[in-house]
Amino acid sequence: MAQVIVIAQGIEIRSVGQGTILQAFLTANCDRKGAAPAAGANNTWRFPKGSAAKATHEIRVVYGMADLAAALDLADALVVYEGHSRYGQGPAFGPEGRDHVLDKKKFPVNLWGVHFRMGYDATDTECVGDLLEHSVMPVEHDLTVANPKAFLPSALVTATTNVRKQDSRIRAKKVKAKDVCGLTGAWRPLDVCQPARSGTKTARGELPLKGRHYYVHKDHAKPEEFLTAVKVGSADIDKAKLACRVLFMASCSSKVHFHAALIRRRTAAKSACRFLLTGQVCQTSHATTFLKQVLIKKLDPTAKRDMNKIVKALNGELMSGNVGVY
Amino acid sequence: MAVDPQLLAQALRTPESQDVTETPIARAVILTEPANVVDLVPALERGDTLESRNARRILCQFGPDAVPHLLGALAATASADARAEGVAVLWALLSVEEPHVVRAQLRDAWPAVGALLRDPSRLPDTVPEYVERDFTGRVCDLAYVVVEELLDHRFDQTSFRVLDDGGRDRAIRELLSGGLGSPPVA
Repeated sequence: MAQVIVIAQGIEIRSVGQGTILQAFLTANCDRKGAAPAAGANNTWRFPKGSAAKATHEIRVVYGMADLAAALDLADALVVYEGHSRYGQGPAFGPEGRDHVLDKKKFPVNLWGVHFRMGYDATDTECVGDLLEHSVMPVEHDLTVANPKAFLPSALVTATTNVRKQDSRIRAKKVKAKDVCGLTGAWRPLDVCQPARSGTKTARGELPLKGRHYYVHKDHAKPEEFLTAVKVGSADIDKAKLACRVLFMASCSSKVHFHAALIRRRTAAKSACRFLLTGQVCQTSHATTFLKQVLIKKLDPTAKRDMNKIVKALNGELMSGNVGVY
Repeated sequence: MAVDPQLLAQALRTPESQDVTETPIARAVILTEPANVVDLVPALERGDTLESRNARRILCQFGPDAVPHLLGALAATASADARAEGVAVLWALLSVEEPHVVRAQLRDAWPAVGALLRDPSRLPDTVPEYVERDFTGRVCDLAYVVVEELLDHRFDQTSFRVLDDGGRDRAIRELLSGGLGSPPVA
């Protein structure tokens, strides 16, 4: 029986270099299984070329969240998610194209804001680079009332403590109202401190920053940036059996964002799935490099020695994001 | 003995359509001697070029015994490009090794690690616009995160990321002053 490899490509990434390079590799090295699908639809391939029913590998390229969920429960599958981490909010899937703000008539639900939840209870994200850029409106994680002992990355644990300290000072009127906006570590209202930004309407006619707060002001960044906290959770990964053998999260800083929830789920599900995760920003065709190692070099990612070779090859690519095995 | 410059140049010009790590020059010449990493590091200074990409691919094929040579060469170069790439190579060489090997290699080359941890050069920002940059920093920041992750894979870098340069400098100084403690247990 052929080894199944599922490549789930996320919003935007399916339409930039990674998507194109993957399709070119598959066309050159594999046969398409079945009739050619409609443009932009899921596509399945057999390796090696000309092997037909005797194929050693079946490669399924999918573009939907339900496809990713199904892949995680597919016994012995090798699964790669190649896409955005969405600053820790989780994989997001969407149509072909590179629109950062999806047309509201075509997409009443903004797919940039629909995530496969596999992270901490909350994550930090950028008010300008994310919320405004994609016109997304995730639920705010209010640091003034948040539980610092919740399932959080260390940055938000520290942030919660700092916000509470500053909040006490504000409530005790040790800080004048006019000075709150300059109070490092405080949970500052954008409506008061950045009214122009807060009132910025997106192409979808939305006001993603209205009523929001920030706890870090990156005033030296270009563009100037504000970090806020938004709710995430792990509802989707917590439903997964993790029956797959390998899950490669080929997205920026996936170790930073998803490692804790993945390990927790693996333990609970008594899964033996191995995770490949990145420690930094990545911008390379990881899915294709992974396929080259498994298909062309015949390396078995379920064997430790071979997996180490795969990791070295993945990290040999520029902007690999420092892939590790967990 | 250094790799013949002509052979090295030939290997580094291997077209992308071929796997440079499987070429006879890489397998039979370059990868046979850990000290040969020193000859590849200068190519990392050339940014996103064929030579630089091939150099990185070959460098990542070395074993942990190449780490002191790699770190020595990185300490000797002034190129932020080379140092940033070299830190990624360091990760590739050590992240697949057992903890006692990682600690031993880093401890033996600690002065050279220190050179990276003190390098305030901004990391080259060459990623395309569509990439969601969740962290941009300096060579020293990248080196810090990589060293900490190598020493403990549970390291949570989010607190470090959110700091400004001054805060990150303090964290780096703590690591530098603490060193790697007692000799590793084999």
